[in-house]
Amino acid sequence: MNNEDAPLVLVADDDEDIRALVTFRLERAGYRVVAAENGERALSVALESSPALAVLDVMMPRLDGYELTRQLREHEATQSMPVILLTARAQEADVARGFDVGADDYIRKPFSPQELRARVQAILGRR
Amino acid sequence: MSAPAKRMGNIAKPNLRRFSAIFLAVALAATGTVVAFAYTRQKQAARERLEAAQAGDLEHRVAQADASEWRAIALRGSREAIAGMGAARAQLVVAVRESKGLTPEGTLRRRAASYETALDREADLLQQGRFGLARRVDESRVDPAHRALHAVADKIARDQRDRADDSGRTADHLTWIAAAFAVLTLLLLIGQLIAQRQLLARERGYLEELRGLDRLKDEFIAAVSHELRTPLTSIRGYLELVLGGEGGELTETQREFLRVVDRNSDRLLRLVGDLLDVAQIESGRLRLNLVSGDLRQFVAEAIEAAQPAAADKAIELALDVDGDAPVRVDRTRLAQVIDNLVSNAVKFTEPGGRVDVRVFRPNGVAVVEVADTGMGIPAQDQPHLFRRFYRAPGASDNAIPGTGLGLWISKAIVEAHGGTIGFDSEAGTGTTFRIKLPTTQEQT
Repeated sequence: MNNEDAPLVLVADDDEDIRALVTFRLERAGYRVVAAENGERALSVALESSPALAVLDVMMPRLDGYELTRQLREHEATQSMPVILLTARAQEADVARGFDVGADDYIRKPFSPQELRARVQAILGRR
Repeated sequence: MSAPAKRMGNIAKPNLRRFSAIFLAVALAATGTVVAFAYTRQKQAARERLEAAQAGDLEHRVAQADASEWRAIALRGSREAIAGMGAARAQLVVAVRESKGLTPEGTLRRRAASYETALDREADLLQQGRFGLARRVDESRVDPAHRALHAVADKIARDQRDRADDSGRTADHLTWIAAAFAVLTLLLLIGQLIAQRQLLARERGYLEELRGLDRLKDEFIAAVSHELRTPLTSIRGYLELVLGGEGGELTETQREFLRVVDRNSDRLLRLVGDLLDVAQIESGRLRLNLVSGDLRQFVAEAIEAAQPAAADKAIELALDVDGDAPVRVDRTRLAQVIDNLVSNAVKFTEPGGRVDVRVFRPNGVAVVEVADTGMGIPAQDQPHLFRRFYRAPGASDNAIPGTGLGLWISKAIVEAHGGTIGFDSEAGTGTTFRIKLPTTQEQT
């Protein structure tokens, strides 16, 4: 399943269980996954390995999802990389803020893994 | 209304008291000032009268006297004048006698006659009080009368001066009293203001404290809700994986037990969501993202989502729409309300029952009715239905799950849209909830 041609997805979340859950679900759906436990780490991983898509938690230590997205947009390598934000704050203002910094989609916590897979597939195309 | 806002209502009363106290104090000060001014004026008038009396002639002085004094002067004056005239007549007789024919008697008599006429005229004038004219008739011939008049007038002037002094003293005293009164009132007013200010500062302090506590409570609820969502995401996510067979084959018993976990984690999730909503509504942070659309469509979507739950209980859930219903609403929030009402109706209706949802628009109001054939709400429970955390005894007795927040939140959302929510219910027959929302422009 994890062949070399599969798109690489960056998953960043400080909660280990959610990170593992998202990773598991995406790997099962046929993607390669690289995980990061905070925003800074996610930024360096993104610049190193140029993933096809990033799933970023909004509430992360060091660098939150909004700021990380904004910084990713400043680098040429990750300028057009699709970003899906995971947010526990189900408020419209937060959603708007996510789009303002350049996110492509958002998923509200708690989300079902199935929903996540559907959103990722919608962006990257069914494989 | 949030708790501090309720408490703020109580602060209005001391304010009212404060304003009435200020009004009273100002009124007292104004009265004091007016009294002081009036007495100063009177004092001034008395002083002017005195000066006039000293500077003016007899007539003026007499004119300044009051009616009874004036008459007394006139009477006394004329009495003296008449007495003076008697003396003048005696002088005349002596003069005629002493002339010893040197002066022709006719001339003397003529003179005496004219003198007498003048005296008579003077007496008349004096009796009428026309002293000035009398003097002009012949001052020298009524000297005694004039002297008497002057004496009387002087006495009157003295009296007047004394009285003016007296009234001046009285006016002085009254002015001092009025001034003291005004100062006292002012001090009272200042004291009152200081006391009010201290009271207000204290109340403001309490209010700040209460606001702080309320903010803390809101932040706490919001933080707890967020913190609960993260582990719930894991719980529900892994459950979905396990139930989906990702962790290997499940026995029917394992599956059954995991469904209980799933159901209860779902319940917990709803409670967290409800608590977050309550915190948002209470802190006035409920924001509506209004979009225009047809209420029929919004309701149809909510019904669609509720169909599986209704089907599980073999309840027929039907939608009946009558014409269009253009509205401007927050779709997510409105869906939450419809969802709440429909799921309540399904929860409280026995299997085999019906839930009928109607959308219609009488008189420019968009109405959504959710009618069930459920257990109904007993009359004694009805007034409490929209209270926070209220659960009807019927719900608890029948172990129907719920937080007691749904209707409270629904009411807040509907009212934030400028609408109303109400219900009719009869125990044993069923309940009909009714939402009324303002419609936008007429559509055909």
